[in-house]
Amino acid sequence: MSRSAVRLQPVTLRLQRVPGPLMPQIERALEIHGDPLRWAITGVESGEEPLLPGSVLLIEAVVLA
Amino acid sequence: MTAGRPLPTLLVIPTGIGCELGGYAGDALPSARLLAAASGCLITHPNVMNGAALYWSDPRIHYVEGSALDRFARGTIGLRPVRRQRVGLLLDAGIEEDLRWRHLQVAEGCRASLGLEIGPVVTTEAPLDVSLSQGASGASWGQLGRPEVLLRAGQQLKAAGATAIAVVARFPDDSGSEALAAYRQGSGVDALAGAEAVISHLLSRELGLPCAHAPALSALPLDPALDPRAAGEELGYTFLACVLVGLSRAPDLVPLLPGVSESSGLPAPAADLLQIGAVGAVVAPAGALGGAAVLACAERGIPLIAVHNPCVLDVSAEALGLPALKAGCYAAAAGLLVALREGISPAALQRPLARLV
Repeated sequence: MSRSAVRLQPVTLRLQRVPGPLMPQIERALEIHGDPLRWAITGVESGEEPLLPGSVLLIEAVVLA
Repeated sequence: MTAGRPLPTLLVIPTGIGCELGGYAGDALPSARLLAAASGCLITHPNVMNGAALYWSDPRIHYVEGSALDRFARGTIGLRPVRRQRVGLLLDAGIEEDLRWRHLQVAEGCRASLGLEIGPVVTTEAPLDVSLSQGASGASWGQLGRPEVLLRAGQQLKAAGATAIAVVARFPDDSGSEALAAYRQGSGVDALAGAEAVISHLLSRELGLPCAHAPALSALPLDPALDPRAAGEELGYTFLACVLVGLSRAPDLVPLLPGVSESSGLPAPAADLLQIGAVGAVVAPAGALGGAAVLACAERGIPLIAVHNPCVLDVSAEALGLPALKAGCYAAAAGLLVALREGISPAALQRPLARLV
C-alpha cells in the first residue's frame, strides 16, 4: 500500500443477487470501486424467494481507492 | 458445566448499528462471558469486549479485531494464543496536551497495577482528522483525512517491537448533538463506531497485528439519567483501559497458505493454532447477518445462531436465504451452544417435533 496515496472512499451499492455464494458476488461488485476495507449488507429488497434473481442487496462499504 | 470438549464459537455483534444489546459500552460482556462458558472457546471482536473503563479478561475469550475476524472466518489467517502481547501505543497528534497525558496515565496504570507490557509510544506526525458519517441504513460510518499518517505510525511501532497496537484518535466533540443525547439515553446508534472500525481495519490489514481503537474525547457533563449500558464510557477520562487489557492477550494472527495439502511437505500447523475449520457455531443478531464473517461462516456450513437483538438493520436469515437456529436472547443462544457442544440435535429441544415420515 502506497504510504502517500491512501484514500478512503464510501460506496453504496444496489446489487442484484444471482444464485450462488454471496461473498464472491459482493466482492466483485465492490472491487470495481476499489479495494474493500469494510462492508456489510445493510438491506435486502426481496423478490418472491430470496434465492431467486430479483432479490436486491443494499451494500454500504468503505474502499481503498 | 459440560464434559464435552470446547466448541470454538464466533460471536459477532456489529458496531454502529444500534444493537439493543451490545451497541453501548461493552454491554455485551455478560453475554460474552456466558457464551464463553457454554462453548469453552469464544472468538469475538473489540466492540463486544470494550467497556471503556470496564473490561473482563477470560482465557476462554479470544479478542480479535473485526477485519481480522473476517479474515479468520474466510480461512486466510489462524489464531495463536499467547501469554502476553507487547502493546504499542499510537496517539493522534490531534489530541490536546491534557487529554494526551490522561491516556499516558492510563497506560502507566495498566503497567503498574495490571502488569501489562505496554510500549513504545508513537505520536502521529500530523492529526488524523477523523470525521463521522451515517449510511442510508442509519448505520455509523466514518473517515480519516490522513490514513497514510496512521499507517506510518503503525509501521514505526511494529518496527520498534510492538506485537499489538492500541490506537487513540481524536474524535470530534459534539456534546449537544441529538445523536449523542439519544445514545446516552439508551437509544440510537453509536456515532463513533464507523470511524473506529475504519481505523482498526486499516491497521490490522496493513500490519497483520492485533489492533484496537479507543476514541479520545472531552469529558461530558454529568447526566443523572444516563442509561446503564452507556455508563462505562463516562467513568473516567479515556476509553483506553479496556483496549489495553483486551490486546494484552489477543492471539497472534497467523497467515495461512492457500491450497496447502498434507502432501505438500510443509510442516503441519502447531496444535494450538485455531483455524476456522474447528469453529462449531457463529452467533449474531438476527437482523444483522450481512457481514463478512457471518456470511463466510454460513458458506462453510457452520451453524448460525440468530439472536433476537433489535438494531437499525433488517438483514435476516430469511432475507438472505440462510439456514439459522433462532434464539430469543443470548441466554437461549448459550443453551443452543451447549446442545451443539454435547452433540444434541437442537431440533429435539423444540416442539412440535416433526416426524421423519
